[in-house]
Amino acid sequence: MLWSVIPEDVVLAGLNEASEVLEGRVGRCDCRLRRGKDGVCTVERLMSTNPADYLRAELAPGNRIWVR
Amino acid sequence: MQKNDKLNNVPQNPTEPEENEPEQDEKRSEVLSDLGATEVPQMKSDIHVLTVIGQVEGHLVLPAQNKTTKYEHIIPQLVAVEENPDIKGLLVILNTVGGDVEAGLALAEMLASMRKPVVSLVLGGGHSIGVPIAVAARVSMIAPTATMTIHPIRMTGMVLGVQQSFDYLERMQDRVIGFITSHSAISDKQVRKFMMNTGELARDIGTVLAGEDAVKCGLIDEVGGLSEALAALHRLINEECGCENAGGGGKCCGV
Repeated sequence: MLWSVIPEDVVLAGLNEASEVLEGRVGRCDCRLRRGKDGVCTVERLMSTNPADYLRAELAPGNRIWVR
Repeated sequence: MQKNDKLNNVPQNPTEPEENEPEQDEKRSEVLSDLGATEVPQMKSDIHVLTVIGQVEGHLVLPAQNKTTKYEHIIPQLVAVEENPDIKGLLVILNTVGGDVEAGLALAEMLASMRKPVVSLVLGGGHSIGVPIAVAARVSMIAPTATMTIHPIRMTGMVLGVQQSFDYLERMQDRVIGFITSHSAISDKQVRKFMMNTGELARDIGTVLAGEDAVKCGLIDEVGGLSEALAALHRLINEECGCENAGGGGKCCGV
């Protein structure tokens, strides 16, 4: 249930566009990453039960990760 | 979805000190050229800043053009803030257009139930589900030019045109209004009046409250900016601590 001042069609535009989702360890923390069109991955979410991991700025969602 | 072992080689915390100085300089140059950012002097603060920006993202991962605040990240982060002895208080900065009702309410409930002092500051906008998040703090503030839109909750996707759909919508709205009125000085009647106002918005019904208006109706505690919000937070921290700075705007003794 979306309650926003931005119209729903604007918010949800491109919802069905597929993007590659990867799982792995970043900085000793299991993460889910999303690979963008430019090949650079962004942190999608952490899969950790340690609350301290959620205070780490480098693991904040949207942070760009270069995968070698 | 696939498991990628390559990710194990991903560089660790980029702010970690490196042994090799030239490499470190090179890395700094990369940061500067790639992100246009420089490293700023480090300081130790006893407050944690949480930004609620863009859409509050709920059960649906929103497309990439949206800036989002992910509740599955914020909720454990609030647990960490509550548990971390080095963090004395939380400053929530809002500039949100709204988002998922249940995710927003979850964040609001978490903020309201925290033991540590929480101060919220609405900058730019704190619309829709941003309203309960803003009022959840112990002290809420709004910048003079910021606005908050109160309008009816709406459903997305296919909606069955039956009475039950409307009943569910009304119950959901009651939950939100109940939270807002129990965490601010505004009355139930006033929130509903703002919500159903037909004379203000061109393409919607509802009300836009600018800084001073939000305070006058009792929704937000004070008009203020960053310095006022920080002073309020330090005052709350000092009161909690009971140190000699209690009541003043200075920093807590740190104990």
